[in-house]
Amino acid sequence: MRRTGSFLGLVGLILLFFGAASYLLTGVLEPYSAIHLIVGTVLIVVYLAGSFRDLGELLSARSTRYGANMVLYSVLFVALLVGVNWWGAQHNERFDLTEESVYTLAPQARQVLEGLDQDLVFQAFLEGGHDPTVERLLDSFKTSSPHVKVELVDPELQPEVTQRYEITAYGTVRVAYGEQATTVAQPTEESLTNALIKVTRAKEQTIYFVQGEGEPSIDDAQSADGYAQAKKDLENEQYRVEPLVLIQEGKVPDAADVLVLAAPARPLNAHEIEAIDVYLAAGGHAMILLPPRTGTELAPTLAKYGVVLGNDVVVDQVVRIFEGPALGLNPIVETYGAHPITEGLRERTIFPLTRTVTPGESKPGLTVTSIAKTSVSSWAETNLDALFEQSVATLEETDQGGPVSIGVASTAELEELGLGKGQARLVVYGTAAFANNQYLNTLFNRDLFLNSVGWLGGQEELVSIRPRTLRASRVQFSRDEATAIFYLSVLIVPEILLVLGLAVWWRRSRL
Amino acid sequence: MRNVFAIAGREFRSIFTSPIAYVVLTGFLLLGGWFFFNLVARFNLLVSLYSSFQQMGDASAQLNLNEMVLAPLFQNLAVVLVILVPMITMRSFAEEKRTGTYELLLTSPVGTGQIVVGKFLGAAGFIAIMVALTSIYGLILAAYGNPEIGVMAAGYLGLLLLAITFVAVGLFASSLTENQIIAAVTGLVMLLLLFVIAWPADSLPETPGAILRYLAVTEHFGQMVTGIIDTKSLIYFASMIVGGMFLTQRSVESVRWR
Amino acid sequence: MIEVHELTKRYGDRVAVESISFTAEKGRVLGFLGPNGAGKTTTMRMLTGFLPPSSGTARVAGYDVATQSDEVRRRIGYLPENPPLYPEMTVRSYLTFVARLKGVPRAHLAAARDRAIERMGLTDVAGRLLAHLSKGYKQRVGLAQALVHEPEVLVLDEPTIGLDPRQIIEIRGLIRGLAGERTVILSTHILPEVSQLCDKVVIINEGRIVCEDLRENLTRNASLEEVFLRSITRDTAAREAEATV
Repeated sequence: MRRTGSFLGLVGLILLFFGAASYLLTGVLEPYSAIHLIVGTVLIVVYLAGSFRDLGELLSARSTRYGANMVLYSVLFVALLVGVNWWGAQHNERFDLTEESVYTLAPQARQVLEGLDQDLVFQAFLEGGHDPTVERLLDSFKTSSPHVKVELVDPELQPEVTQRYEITAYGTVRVAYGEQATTVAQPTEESLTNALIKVTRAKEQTIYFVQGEGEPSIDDAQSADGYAQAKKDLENEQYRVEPLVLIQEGKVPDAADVLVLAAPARPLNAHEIEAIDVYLAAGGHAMILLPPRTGTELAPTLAKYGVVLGNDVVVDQVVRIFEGPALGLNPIVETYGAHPITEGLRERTIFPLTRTVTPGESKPGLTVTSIAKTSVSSWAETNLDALFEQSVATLEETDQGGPVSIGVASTAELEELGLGKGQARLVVYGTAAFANNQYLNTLFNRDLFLNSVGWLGGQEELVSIRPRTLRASRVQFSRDEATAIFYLSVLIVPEILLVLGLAVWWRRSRL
Repeated sequence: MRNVFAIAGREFRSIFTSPIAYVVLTGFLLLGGWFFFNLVARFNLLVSLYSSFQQMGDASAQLNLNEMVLAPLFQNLAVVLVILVPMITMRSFAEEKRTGTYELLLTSPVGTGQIVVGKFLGAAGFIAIMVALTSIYGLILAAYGNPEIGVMAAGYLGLLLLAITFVAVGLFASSLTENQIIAAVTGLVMLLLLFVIAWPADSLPETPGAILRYLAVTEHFGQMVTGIIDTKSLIYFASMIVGGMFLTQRSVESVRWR
Repeated sequence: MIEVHELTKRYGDRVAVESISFTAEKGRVLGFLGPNGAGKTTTMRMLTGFLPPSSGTARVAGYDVATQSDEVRRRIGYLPENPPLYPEMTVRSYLTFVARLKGVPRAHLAAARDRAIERMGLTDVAGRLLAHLSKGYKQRVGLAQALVHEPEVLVLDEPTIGLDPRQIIEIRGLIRGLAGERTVILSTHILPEVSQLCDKVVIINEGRIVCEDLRENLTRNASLEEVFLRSITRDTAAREAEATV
């Protein structure tokens, strides 16, 4: 009877163990776990009840006291180990032994992370919920701050989350910090760090798009010329986007962090020009997109900030990636100026129907940089009549040969220039089509557009971080050396050990 | 301390005089050499393939010995250790119980802690030599090529810590029984569990998942192989070793209050 | 030298040794006599500190086996039923190892080992592996390891079991040589061994002591065989009587 009792007790313990393990693993009380837990408990109770009369005796026995001490001691020891590990996990230090510190965040990123005061959540939308590269990347963020949380989302399994944030591509990472959030389509240390900077920046910026003179509408999602896509992308980056009918308002609102004027179909009137003038002179930030034959009335204003509009169209007949007009009016840009906007941008962008925009003569207080240049094979066609009416473009003596500048960024220290106070920023491109619904998501136009807005909005913090990898390495040996290595590693070493073992055995067998 | 060294020395010599030690050593280095040679051959094939295609020049610039030869080599060796370490540790207590020398140890003026530490040191010494012998692969790569030495060193440290942790676990398995086969199989199962315990982590809520992941030896070892030494991992390995020895000591001591 | 008082060992609900008390004087040989499974080995294991007693006390050389186990173990040489030999070691290295374990100072290790080898007549086989020794030699090595550290008390569990007659005679001779300088407890179920070696006899049956006396007293009126049988029978009868009540 007693033996049966202890057998039942042991079975009870096993059942309890398996029941608890399955409950912990599945997290739900399934019949399997429930039955195990109940039956296990019952068996143990039966065992205890059966041995109850021995309990008093048991408690006084030396071995029991000894055993109880041991149990207590063991529990304390395990608790100590757990405690040390818990503490160690909170206060860990990583040593990155790779030569280029591949797994360590750049100082810029670490600086931002140290400033966090609430949780920063990275949601990675990965195929099957996994992608070692992305995970490793996020992990390096996670280990740098206790505030960083990482969630891996399998879009197949959580379509609702994926839909809510309008995630369309695997590998996208959504970065959320409090109310702010942004998405990164191609996560790299650089892009994630920049997203981080964006979402942790407290103030929401407002961008006004000038409307009223036939500019493409920011609500027009239908036509190729519309700017609805640009609006959406900006909103994804936590900007507020508002239309501004300048002719009604009479002035640019003070709240405008960036003013965008894109392709007015009719010439602006004097009031409108003055409003822009005043805005800039008060330290405004404007992006002005003027395709050929538009906006000549703005030339004096732009000239004050060192920007010169060319009365021409850039033709590039060699690069025909997109079999567009045979004229070659969609120049591709591959070379960028040294400027925060284009730092780190190495990919191509396309500028449909663009004029040249070049830096004017330099003045103290003005920093004007050409940020986009077309290829060597392009030129600026000045014979616009022939081009537009006869569709003919030929490189003549008077035409400026490529590469030509089609985008300019200007920083103006207003006090030095005698225009006002503070600093004005201006980005001018010779086309408006590069950011419209049709072209914004072509090549890397979106990046260039958003970078431009970002710089105008004063996000110098945005950084460029060189991607780092393990150094490429090689191993080279001649044929003979390869053979020798094969013999050494595969054959000779095990052979020596085998002979050694045999020798030991042989020597000992005679002792 | 004197007792510890006496026991450790005897254990160490006893392992080296047993045929199974040489079988294990030979097997380990045979497999290691085979992995190493084939990984190097595959690596050089990839390099020549990539560089013969112009457009893949970029990809070829990324190829490196650490990721393509050493990391898989370490991972494979770790799996082999899962099987071989219990073969070495299975004897330590089970054999003594079977032959009766256990009684000699326990009736000597030696603490059970000293016995466990001594036996651990003996077995760990053997396993450390086994791992040290695999450094010829690293030396060959360093002599004929240019791997990142830091990453390689972290990998070897990880492999050594992993192996020594395995010894502590194997020792515990051996202390539970007087049957060597049972000791080996128990040890093997425990080590495999340490290897795969993180598998359900992704489908679990965050905290249990994180705990399972932390418990898995692969998590810490894998990180070290990529060249990161985290104090967290060092604490983990130290805890597993100390914890394994503690359980072993408990198990030895339990004779006293059964 | 050895005082055992109401020593009891229970395994779960089975009582292996029940409240036994006896004493062994310094320099004497005490024979522990009993049928197989009487509790001889358990008693010896408790005396040597291998097993903790469930209750009761045992003092060896003045030290309690439960609370001063280390002191006791330092002073005891123990030969279990199976000599605790590492088959892969040579006699010499084995005895050195045991001497170290037993706390012989480093400077005296070699001397202690050589003394034990000489005394047990192991000189010829000192370099051989234990695995390659004959049963008799193994038993001698077992004895050698028990006294390599010159203990005050020797506990020998069935020292002659499984040996051939010539080996038995040799081992008995060796044990007789040890008596006088140290206290020896030896267990056996072979009666002539007791009459040849022991000064005092304790007869144990099913965990209880049924007889404890000097050998001369026991064998004065009857042969040891008769005493033994009488004690065992009386005890068995008493138990049956107890059980029926």
